[in-house]
Formats: sequence, structure tokens, C-alpha cells
Amino acid sequence: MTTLNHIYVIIYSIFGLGVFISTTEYLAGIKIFSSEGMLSCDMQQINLVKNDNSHFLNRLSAAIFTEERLKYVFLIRCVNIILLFIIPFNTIAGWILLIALGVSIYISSLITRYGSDGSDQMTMLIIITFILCQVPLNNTLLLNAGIWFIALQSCLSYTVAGISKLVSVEWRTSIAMRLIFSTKTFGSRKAALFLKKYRFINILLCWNVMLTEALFPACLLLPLPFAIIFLLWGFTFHLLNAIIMGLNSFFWAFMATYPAIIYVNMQIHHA
Amino acid sequence: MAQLIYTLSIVIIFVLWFVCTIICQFKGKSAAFIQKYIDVLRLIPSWTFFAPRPGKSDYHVLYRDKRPDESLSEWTEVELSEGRNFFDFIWNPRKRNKKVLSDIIQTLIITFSRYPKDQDRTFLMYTFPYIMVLHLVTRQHSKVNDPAFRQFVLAESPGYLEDSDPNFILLSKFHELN
Repeated sequence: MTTLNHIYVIIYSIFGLGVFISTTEYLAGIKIFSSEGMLSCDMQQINLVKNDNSHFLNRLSAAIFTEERLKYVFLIRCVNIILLFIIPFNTIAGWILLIALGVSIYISSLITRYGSDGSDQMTMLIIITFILCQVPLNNTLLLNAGIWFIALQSCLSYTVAGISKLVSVEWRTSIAMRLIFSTKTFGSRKAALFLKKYRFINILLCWNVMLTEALFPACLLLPLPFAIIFLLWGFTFHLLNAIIMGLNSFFWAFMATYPAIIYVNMQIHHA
Repeated sequence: MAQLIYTLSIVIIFVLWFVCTIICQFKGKSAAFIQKYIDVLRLIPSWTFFAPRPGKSDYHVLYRDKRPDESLSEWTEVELSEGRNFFDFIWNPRKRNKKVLSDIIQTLIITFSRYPKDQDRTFLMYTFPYIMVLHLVTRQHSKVNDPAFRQFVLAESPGYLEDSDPNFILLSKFHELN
């Protein structure tokens, strides 16, 4: 139970830092929700009303989705994250803070359906797992279930990404990374020129990403030293994605799942 | 007893959630059913990052105005953050603008790719992504005095390597400005 609680604390330390960074990014770019912004609150309310003909969501969106109120939602979330570094999760206060954090993340996900990415999805999975498992008076089975869920979802995410790339012509012909890196949205001039100059690096990188992602769940079953190789690959992969592609939130969201993977691996091998 | 029931319920929820996640990675009827009737809170993730079609274009929004005398202004591009700062790998508040535009345009492309090229695509004007772009464009400052109508164009370019010309994706009708 103590070890399991430590694993949750480690996961939260990485996850919380990532969500804190992402929340301050929203605060710095709050204009995106203004009437001139790409995610104009007025427009997002129309979308919500259109998609979810529920009175509750209509009222919620009308109450919260203004630039000014969202700013408070993000500010409160920052405080919430910090408090959860201090207050144990499975106390009543800790659990209420987890719920508040989950609600806050879910609210912002409603308005950022365009522009959200895999890191947002992983963030949502992790916070819901915490809310469901870190109830006051929790037990070992419940905590274990949460850790297994995070580890399995993480492995599934890599393997689905790998298989999707394996069925893609651009990835199999090893031009995908050069194409992605040459965009200003996700790329870098230096990386694009480098890949244009050294074609064999394209083959190496594309097949490396495809195969390692597809085989990633092996890290649950392999002996820990070999599993660590996969995790080190993942660490390097997400770090390079953050540096070259600017995808910093993926790094934190996915690194937060690695303690769960290590724990599940150890459980499997000590069973 | 209550604790046991709660624990088993959560375990069942995790198992179902995981199975639904696997099913939803395939674009079949089962996935469509789950997404429509079960995943009402949209909590089932899609894990196909940059695949099968990797994002290989930068998207641009340009607009021009028409005056009451029918004369036209020059095209102006909506400024979205471009390029990268050194510290973006730690803190990158500008990443959303480009991603939002990219998502909107990709949704539009998917929508109109479902219809034959010779078919009238006026219906696109009533789709939410189109209205979002129109909203963005109409909120931009005009470079001319007394603009009456505004038209926008969506375009894609290959980015840094520039080994092909930009493509026009969509040219809107002129929309009246209030």
C-alpha cells in the first residue's frame, strides 16, 4: 500500500508539473478565447449547444466560457495543483481537490476540442484515474487497478500509433518525418534541412519510431533492464519532440505514465 | 461491503473503458456506435498520432475586402504565431493557434472530400469549422476604409523546404460585414 501510494505521488509529481506548465501557457495565451481569438468563447458556446443539447452544459458554458472567467478557472487550477503537492490525495480535502482539478481540466477540454492533442487525452485519463482510485479509505486492489489502467493505456497509445504508422505509405517510404519537420507548425528548419541532406537518416528514424512504438507493450513483459531500454527510448523520443516540434505537454503527460509501467512490469515479474 | 462493491465497479469501468479504447482505434461500426451512444463525455482517446496521414503542410488564412463601389483590397494574411523559440520545449504558449487552425482546416478537408468535386459545396458554409474561420476573419482589422464585404481563402504551403507551390484549399464567398 505504501509503495503504491509512492507510485501515485511520483505520477502526480510529473503529471502535476506538466498540467501546471500547460495551464500557465493557457493563461499567457488567454486571448485565444477572446472574441478575436481562434477559440472564441462565443463560437465554442454555439458548438457546445449544437453538439450537446443538454441544459446543464448550456448553462455551464454560458456561465464559464468567457475569456475573463476562464482566466479565473486557470488561476484556480494553478493553486489547486500546488495544493495537491502538499495535501495527501486520499484525504477528504485531497480528494475534493482532485475532483476540482478534474472538473477544471474537463471544462477546458470542452472549449479546446479543436487544438487539443494526445497529451490532453492522457491528462484526462490520469486525473480521472486519480479521482476514482484515490478516494478516502481506498484499498490495494483499487490502487492497483488504477496503476494497471494507466500503464495499459500508455502502452496501447504507443502501439496504436506505431501500427497506424506502419499502414501509412508516407511512413513506410520514410518521408513522413521530413514532411512533418519541414512544416512551420511542427517542424524546424535545421531538422528539415538535415533530413533532406541525409536520406538514410529518414529511413532510420521512421522505421525506428514505427517499430519501437508498435512493440512498446513488450516493456510490460520483458525483464526490467530490457523494459528500461523502451522507456529510455520513450524519454528521448518525447524530449526530442518537445525540442524539435514544440510538443512539450506530451513529454510530461507520457512520462507520468512510466512509473505505472515500471510498477506493472515489476508486479508481473514478481508474481 | 460498500468498499468492495465500489472497488469492483471501478475495476469493471476500467476494463470497459480500456476495451472501448481498443475498439475505437479502428474506424468501424462498433467504434461509431461507442462514440455516439456510450462516449457521451468524449473520454475515449484516439491514439493515432501523426498517422496514417502525417501533417505535412502549414495552413494559412488570408482575407480581402470589397468596398461598396466593388473595388477590392489586397489579400492580408491572418497572423498566427510561427517559428520556434529556444525555450519552447519547456514553455510554449503559442502552440495552440497553429494547432487549432490545422484541426479546423483538416476537418473542413475531410468534410468536403466526402463529396464529388463537381457537386455544389455551398453547404460547407453551414459547418462549424467554416463558421469558426469566418468568425476569426471578420474580427480582423480592415486595411481599407469603409469595407462592406469580406472574402477569405484557406491555403496550405509546404513549410521550410518549399519544394512545391502553395495550394488553395478553399475560396469563400463574400460575406457582408456589419
